[in-house]
Amino acid sequence: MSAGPYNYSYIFKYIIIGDMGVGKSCLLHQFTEKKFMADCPHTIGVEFGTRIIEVSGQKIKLQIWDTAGQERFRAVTRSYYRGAAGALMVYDITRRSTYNHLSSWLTDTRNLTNPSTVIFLIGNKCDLEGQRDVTYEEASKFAEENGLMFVEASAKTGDNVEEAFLETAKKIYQSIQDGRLDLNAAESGVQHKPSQPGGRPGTAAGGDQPGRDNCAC
Amino acid sequence: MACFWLNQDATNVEILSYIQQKEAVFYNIQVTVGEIFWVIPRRYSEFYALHQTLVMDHGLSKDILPDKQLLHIRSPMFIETRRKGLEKYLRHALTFLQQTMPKVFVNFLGFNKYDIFFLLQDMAVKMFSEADTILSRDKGHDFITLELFALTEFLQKAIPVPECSEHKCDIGVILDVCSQLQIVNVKAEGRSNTDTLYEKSSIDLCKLQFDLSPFKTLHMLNLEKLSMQQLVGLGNLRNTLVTLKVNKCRVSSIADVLQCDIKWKELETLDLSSNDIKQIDSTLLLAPKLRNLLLNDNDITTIENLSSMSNLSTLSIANNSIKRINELHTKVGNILYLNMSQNGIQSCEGFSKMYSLESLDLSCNKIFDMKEIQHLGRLLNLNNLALTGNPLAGFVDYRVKVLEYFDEQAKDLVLDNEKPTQPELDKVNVLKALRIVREGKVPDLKINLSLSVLTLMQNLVLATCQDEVF
Repeated sequence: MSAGPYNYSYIFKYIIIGDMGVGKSCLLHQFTEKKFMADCPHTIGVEFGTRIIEVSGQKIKLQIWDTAGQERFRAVTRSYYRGAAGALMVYDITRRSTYNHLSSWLTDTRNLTNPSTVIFLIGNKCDLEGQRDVTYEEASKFAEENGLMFVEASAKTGDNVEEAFLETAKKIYQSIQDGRLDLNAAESGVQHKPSQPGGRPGTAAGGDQPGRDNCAC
Repeated sequence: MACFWLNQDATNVEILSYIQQKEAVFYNIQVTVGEIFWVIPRRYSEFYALHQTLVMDHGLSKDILPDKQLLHIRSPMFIETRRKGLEKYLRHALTFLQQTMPKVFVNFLGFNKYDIFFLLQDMAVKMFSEADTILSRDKGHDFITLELFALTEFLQKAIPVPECSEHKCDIGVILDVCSQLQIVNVKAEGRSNTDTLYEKSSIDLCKLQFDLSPFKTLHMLNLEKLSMQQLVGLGNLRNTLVTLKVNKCRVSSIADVLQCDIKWKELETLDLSSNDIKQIDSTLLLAPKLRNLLLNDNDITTIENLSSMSNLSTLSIANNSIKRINELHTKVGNILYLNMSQNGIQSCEGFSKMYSLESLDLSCNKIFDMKEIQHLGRLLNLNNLALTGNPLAGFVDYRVKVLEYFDEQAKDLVLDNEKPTQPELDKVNVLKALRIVREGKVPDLKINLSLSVLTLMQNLVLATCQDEVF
């Protein structure tokens, strides 16, 4: 088997949250497709994306849940906090109200995830410097007070988007190395898949794959 | 249920009939206590054995039992005379022994099965000697409604029990065991589905109310064939119960079970299968920790009121009346296992964004258009899919066609409980290559194909080319 899309050793689950229109889906799109999606429609309920990254030589598959920011989907999106290893909390630097709502998003995250979940604060649309409504210093202070990682990014230009997703993964990986994150706990948001030759690592028990390795080429 | 100690004056024994089975004649003793009666068949030899004990141990006069006889014992006239004699004997014995009620006599007349006090007495003895086994059993303890009703009645009514060594009933033992039990199964087993009378008695199982409050640490409660009106104190289990199963109880709404206002703090699994539920109502919000919800074999038509159940991971609504699914991902959140088999679903479009699903059972629905499967092809976490029993499952190459929609994922997808075989995967690859050719692109030769597949593909390509020529 060549290096297929299933050749990875960990799955990390992420959730992206924040007010409507802050650019959650665009951040995801920029990260998975490396493109900016103009005219992005409102997310209905939830969207999903994956990408494989590398941290300290380990291949890690990110499963990213992009939730709807609209209030009417709040109930349904709450269920995706369960089992998230990383939470990307997004606000729009040009709209102060989206920043003011962060504390309620943070409360939800703290209540619905486990203590080892890494929370990363992203101030999106930093390309629109002229319309800035929230200063970097203010948000940075908020992040520090609440023990969050923080960066200002732009889904349009791609600035700091990779960094936000990767730094979160590094922090999660660090937690695993330190033993702070229990891989066996069902809700840890991390799955370990020990590599197996010739197939998706660690598929369901008893999943023997007859003939797979006898491939003639 | 009967209570002898409260109805001593209203107790009567009769032998109304007899049945002949092969060599043996059974006399049907009918015991009436107050408004309750039951029938218990006994042979003469059993009467004889009883009589010996009663004479020896309890001072019954020796010569009142009709004599043994060797000849003509099957003639109707003889049996009739004996029937009358035995009836007279029983009445005499009952009058003589009604204060002491020796165990052997109680059991002979079936009091230990139908009478509140004597049933509890047996239960207490059993629980005293087997407490450890009862409490350690993984499957929990099975109660019949009669036992729980007896316990409830005994605790609520003052039953005047004569002070006598034989009539010690240590109710404490029962309560002690009950308070420690973690798993309890209660089942009402009437004579048939429509007849709810208990065995050979006039006790109507449907009318027995019982209280569940003696169970202080219950984790799992399984109720079968009861009616919710019979249960008292179900609410007392709210703080401890993790699993609640209410099956075949004709429940018409979830609210009947979860009641109102107060939260079920620990409830994780709720199984209300085989009832008459028409709607998923909002009382489910009273169980915030709910992970597994099973509503099979009901009459539900839509999925609703589940959006706030943020811990739900298993949902099973098989054999209901769901015909259409719209944007399911806005109605339920992060669920991993969904069973909607045996409904009337035609389209898979509503499932297209259920990205969290790992297992989806849509068997025995009405999906007939293969194109519907494309909506499932983007469910990247899906590794188990059942479509058998749908019209499309009868198509030629059904499995291959379904698997084709899953692309790279196909090899890990268990379809209808079977992993794809190598020939199937090869065919999927061939179809993929053909599709690319048809779309006018050059097939990606880096795809690993075995030699046989390449030949097969060549043939197929030739065949399609020929088709295009003609």
